[in-house]
Amino acid sequence: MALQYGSDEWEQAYQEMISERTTSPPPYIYFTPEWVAVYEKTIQEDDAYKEAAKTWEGSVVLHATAEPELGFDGDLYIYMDLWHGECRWAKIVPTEAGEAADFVITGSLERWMQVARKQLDVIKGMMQGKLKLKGDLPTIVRAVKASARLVDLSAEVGGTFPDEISTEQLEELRGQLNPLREKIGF
Amino acid sequence: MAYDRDLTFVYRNPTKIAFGENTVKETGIEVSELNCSKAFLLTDKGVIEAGLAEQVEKALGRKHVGTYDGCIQDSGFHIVNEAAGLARKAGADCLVSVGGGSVIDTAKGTAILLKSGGQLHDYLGFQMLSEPQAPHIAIPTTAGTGSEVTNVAVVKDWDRNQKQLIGSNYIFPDTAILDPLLTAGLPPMLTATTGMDAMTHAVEAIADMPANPIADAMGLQAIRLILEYLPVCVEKGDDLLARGQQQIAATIAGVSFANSQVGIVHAIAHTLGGLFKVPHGLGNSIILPHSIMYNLDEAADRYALIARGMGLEVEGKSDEEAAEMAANAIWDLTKKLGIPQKLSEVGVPEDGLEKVADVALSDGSIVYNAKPIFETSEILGILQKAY
Repeated sequence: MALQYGSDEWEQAYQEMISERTTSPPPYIYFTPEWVAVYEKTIQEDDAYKEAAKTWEGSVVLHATAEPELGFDGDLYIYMDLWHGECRWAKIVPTEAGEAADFVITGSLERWMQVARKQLDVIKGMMQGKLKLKGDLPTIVRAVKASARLVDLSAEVGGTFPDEISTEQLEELRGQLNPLREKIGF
Repeated sequence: MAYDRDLTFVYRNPTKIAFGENTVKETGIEVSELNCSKAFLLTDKGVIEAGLAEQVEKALGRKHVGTYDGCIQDSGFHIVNEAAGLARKAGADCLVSVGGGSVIDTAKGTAILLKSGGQLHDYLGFQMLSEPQAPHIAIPTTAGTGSEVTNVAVVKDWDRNQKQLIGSNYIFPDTAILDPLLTAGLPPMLTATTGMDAMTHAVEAIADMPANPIADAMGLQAIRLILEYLPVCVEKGDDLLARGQQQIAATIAGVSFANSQVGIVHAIAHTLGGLFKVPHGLGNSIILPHSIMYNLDEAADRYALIARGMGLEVEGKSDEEAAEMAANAIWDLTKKLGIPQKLSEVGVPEDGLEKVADVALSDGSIVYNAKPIFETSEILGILQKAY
């Protein structure tokens, strides 16, 4: 049974997981917990984001739907707690917590890889039905520059795309993620 | 203008379009073609008074299960809720909207609640629906909105005094019935301003960031038709050829912007409507040429394409010169149509411009504008020039 999200035990388990999974240096596989940890740090250190997001208040979730053929057997919710230019934290969270965010941008893992590869513009993607946006439009519209910077940073973080790894590595990834999914609840 | 090799787009136009005088008499047949038999009609009191809703009710015959005439300009969530409740109570399996953009958008919201339940707030955003909604036949009684072929509903949040967008590929109306006879009674000023709404859709669709060649083709043909036929409609309202061509122009301009979106002009017009009750087409008409001048440094080539489409003598002119000619042609057109050309003439107080700029910066349309806009001061500059 998964630990209760938000409890001290959950936080501790999450941090331990990150410590264990970041013993080897990057690049990490996109949308894995260790990749999210690097993404978090990248946002926190980015002056351009701080400037663009100085009036932003609210949580944003990047939601990738499950793609078992790419090693992700369940949906992933990357939750970013954003406040006046600061990224207070970014973590993979359970579904319920992810869905409760102020803004949820949903796409398949393949679409998110297109975004990270700068092959898909997020705004166009939403218009064309490739990505979904849940949330108050007038609020997020005012933060287009900040949102664009977040997307740019996801590309700048770098990493290995799940479609670039071998079948054996994919199975290894699946073997690592599924137990974590059970314990952490994502 | 040639597109770059990195052009990517998705083009959608799923709405069946039936055009012709007396086509409205086939509404019942269209209901059957959607495999439906209980049509609930949405309209407004003006359409009722004009006798247009009655024509549709007659055409529906026994398939007509009820009518809601409480739609208003700047429809609100509470109105959609009320309409959906009545439609559900009547056992409706499809909706028929008869009216302008607000009526059609109200029906799009109603279609969502009828099929998916919940509150309209649950679906705010982009692409929040995952299946087709209640079937919807749209019968426009103005020639401008284009809503009969678009995937967006604009509904006002009365608590926040701001128009909200719901965009989903599952809210395109299934069928649009264009009957020129339904627009023949439109008064000249309403004909002119709704017609300029269509012009704005076409121009913004061609100039906006998500522009694509198929949407361009629709937009350019709409512009040609509007330039030729809108003045005729205003001058001689019973000219059914002109009325029909203007209807087609409005619809294909709608197809164009459904695939390319609108920009700063609509962001401002939505706000002018929300704050100062400036009719949507009128707000668009005033702001459109100013937007061209504002966007010039980013999109002169797009406006030059429009100038050529307008048939202007652009041979030997730079893109910037051609774009300015397009802006001037629009001013000439609105002057000819007798439409006010300044915000100061339509009840907008000068000390309200900053508020307009501030709210417009939050409008969903702004993200698609030809030139990225991040500051209220940029919008204020446009408003001051238009004042």
